Amino acid sequence: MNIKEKQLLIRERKLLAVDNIKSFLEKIKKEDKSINSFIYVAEKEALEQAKIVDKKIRENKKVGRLAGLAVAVKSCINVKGMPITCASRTLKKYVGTYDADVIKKIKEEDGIIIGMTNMDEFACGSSGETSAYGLIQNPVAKGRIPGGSSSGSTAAVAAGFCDIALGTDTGGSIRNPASHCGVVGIKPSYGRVSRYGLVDLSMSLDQIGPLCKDVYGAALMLEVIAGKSDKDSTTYEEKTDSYSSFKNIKNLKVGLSKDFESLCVDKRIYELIMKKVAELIKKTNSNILNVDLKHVKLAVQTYYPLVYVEFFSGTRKFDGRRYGEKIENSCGEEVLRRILGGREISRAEYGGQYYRKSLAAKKEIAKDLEEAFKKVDVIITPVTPKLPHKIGEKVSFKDMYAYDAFTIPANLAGICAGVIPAGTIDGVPVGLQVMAPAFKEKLLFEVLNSL
Amino acid sequence: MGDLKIGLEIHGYLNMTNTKKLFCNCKIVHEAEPNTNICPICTSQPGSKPMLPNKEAVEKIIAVGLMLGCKINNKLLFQRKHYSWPDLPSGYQRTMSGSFGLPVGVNGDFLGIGIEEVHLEEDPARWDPLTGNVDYNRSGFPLVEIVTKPDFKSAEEVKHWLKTLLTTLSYIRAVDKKAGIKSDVNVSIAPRYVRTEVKNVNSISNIVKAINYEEQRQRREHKNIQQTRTYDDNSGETIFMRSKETAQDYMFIPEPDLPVIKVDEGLVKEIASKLPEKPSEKYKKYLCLGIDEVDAKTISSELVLAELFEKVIKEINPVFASRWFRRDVIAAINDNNMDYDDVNIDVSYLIDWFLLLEKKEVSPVVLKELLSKFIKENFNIKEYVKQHSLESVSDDLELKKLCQEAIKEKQAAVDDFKKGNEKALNAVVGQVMAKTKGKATPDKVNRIIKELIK
Repeated sequence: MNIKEKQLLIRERKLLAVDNIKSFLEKIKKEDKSINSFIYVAEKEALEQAKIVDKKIRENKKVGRLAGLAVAVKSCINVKGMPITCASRTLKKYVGTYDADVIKKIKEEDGIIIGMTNMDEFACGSSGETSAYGLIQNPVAKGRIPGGSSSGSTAAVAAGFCDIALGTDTGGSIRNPASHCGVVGIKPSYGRVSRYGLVDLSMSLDQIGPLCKDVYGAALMLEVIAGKSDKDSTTYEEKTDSYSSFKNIKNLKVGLSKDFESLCVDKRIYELIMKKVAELIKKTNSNILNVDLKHVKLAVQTYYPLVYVEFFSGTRKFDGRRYGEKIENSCGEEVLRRILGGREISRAEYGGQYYRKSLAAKKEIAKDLEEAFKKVDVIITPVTPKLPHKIGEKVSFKDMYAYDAFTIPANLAGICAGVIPAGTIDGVPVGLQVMAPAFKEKLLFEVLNSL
Repeated sequence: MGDLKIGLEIHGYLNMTNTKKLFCNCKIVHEAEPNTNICPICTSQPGSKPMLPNKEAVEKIIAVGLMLGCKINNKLLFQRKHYSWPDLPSGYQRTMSGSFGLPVGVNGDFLGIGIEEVHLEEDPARWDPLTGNVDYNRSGFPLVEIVTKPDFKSAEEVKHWLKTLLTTLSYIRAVDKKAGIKSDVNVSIAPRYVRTEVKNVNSISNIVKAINYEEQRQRREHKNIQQTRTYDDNSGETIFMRSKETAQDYMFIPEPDLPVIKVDEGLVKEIASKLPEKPSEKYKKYLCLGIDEVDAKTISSELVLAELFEKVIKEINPVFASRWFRRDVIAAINDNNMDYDDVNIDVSYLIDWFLLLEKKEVSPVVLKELLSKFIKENFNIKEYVKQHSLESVSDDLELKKLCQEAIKEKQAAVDDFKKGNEKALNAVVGQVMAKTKGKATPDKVNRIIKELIK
């Protein structure tokens, strides 16, 4: 059953919200032991909320757009009264003291928070292996990583533990696992969704976005959570369209880039993407144009100094005086690498040559994409350069960072991008990425819907 | 002498009428129950972000920059200044200063002292080292920082300049005077001018003491090294904290959670057009009117007083008015325990009061006595005088009669006067004043008595 159908059934009382939640809770109980997608299942709270929603419907009161739908939330987004662990020992004891802006909006629309999902520790990772609560399994490609860092949210969607999930994407943390687990994942334009309540990885790049099995569900969720907030000064006054009503598109100008092709390690992925693009072109009577993204190969080198420095800064509050243990004494290897790296880069004697140089490179990459979007409507790329590795396989941190080569540019440029399943290779899901200009989410959804 | 260089970094609380903190909507209350004006933002809960800086704070700081003759930047950029301390919930302070910051105002000049920059920053919380308790009420209060060039040559010069600075800032209600100021003081002496910074000195008198102590110390210790010291209030001495080699690295980065804030040129012009004349300008203006130096200084030190005075002297002789303003009007305000901001007297009534005084229609003694009540209650003084029959006894015959009575009653005093004791006559004049309930003019009474006993 897709989200649109379920939305209707609940409203017409053909499906009780309580039953929707109960069936998810049972499935989680039975199957999540082997997947480990949740850190906290909000059984009691979710059932209570579901009853309230059912009562509203029974009494013919107006209900919100997410009425009765189960929403899983990544453990770095504040929900009042729930453990916001960031999947770290550091925040083991921290319970959210307030609702993030996105959570407030979901609650206002009668969405039901079903639990807090597992993730790479503090969103530092692309594999789902760095959680202090144990690694997350790919529910679709057994024995492989689910990708990350929104591993649990994506796995929960793929495994059918919820209707929609919230992830966060700083360099691909929504799109990368969406590709590996075969679901839809959206990274909105920077400033589209309020970050108020999101525990920082890299403040200038982080965005909260939806994960869902279908495009409609993802669009519906973005519609709810998008918009300017006084509590996030980096949000914009841009109009938020109705993303979830799609019209058929025709005569697109689709951009492809040679620079992306060369980054693809597993050429089968590129071939699969090209096949999908050909279908789209035929179906929509569109054209392919080549775009030149010469700085895109610098994306990974540009990205990490920014993330290191901002993460270092953002984690200074975890000094052991509040919330729990001092982060340096309680975190995992990758988190520590970023903190120490960030501290080093920020030191005064470097005079800002790394952080500020990276900011300058970021601008160049953004300019490349801006130029490209003068020629084309959207750009289509692979999501990852290779298939997800097998759990237990040793991967150097540099190879781990390379997973995000296709996804990072969208974050650096502040544009929106979405991932949709393109097919499978060796039984492993492979996604396709569509990038659209900043604040053109409406177009992004329409293209995804046509694929 | 003359080989001393002193520079200041002055911190004060911005005086806000909208009483909101810099990056959130929590109230600014200086004395409140601990942790009652707090939210996720000013306690820096994980995931919280700053709101755009309080608009009034930005406008106030622009006004400060303009008053100090600064060039106002068209962009404002907050930095994160990192350090670990129990009073700092985020592990960094948001400030416009720092290696890559864009302060509000730069390159100013105030009374011959160069102003390096004027900027805005947030106050940390209050930490009690004895109990370990942290009170976040203060966290996020907007602070103004004024950095001077090392242009001062003596502690005396610093003292006078700071006093004038505070008066000037009080003109635009920019600094919360009750909350006081703090200053970091840089002192160095010739020939090497090795800079010593004394941190957090908290009053003008302590700043003077710290400078004097530093001067003597540096003259005594020839091998002075660049260092940071702290001032001990009890001993009046400065104490070594750290040398430059171990200086803290604040690892400044531009605040990613805030956009670069554009300062509209129109806004700066609007603020500039609303700025009052500086106290020093008013002082000079008053001197030109022939007003005594002390009177001019006192009146120009308070904007409310100065503005009231300037309205009054449109009708009243400035020198005459200034005497009464400096002594009696101020005394009346103080009698009522009023803040100058609370003074709400109608200028036309006040002018009437001066006219009654000038034309001697009512005795100055009566007017003086009335002043305190008048300033507080703000009534039509002319009507009041009429209703209470307070006009001067100007009937010469009546007054002469009363004087004759008084001479008889105070014969001893009259005799003393005749023996040459000038002051003895006051007793006789006082007797007449009492008989008239103060409604006579003492000068006139004096004259009549002298004539009568000649």
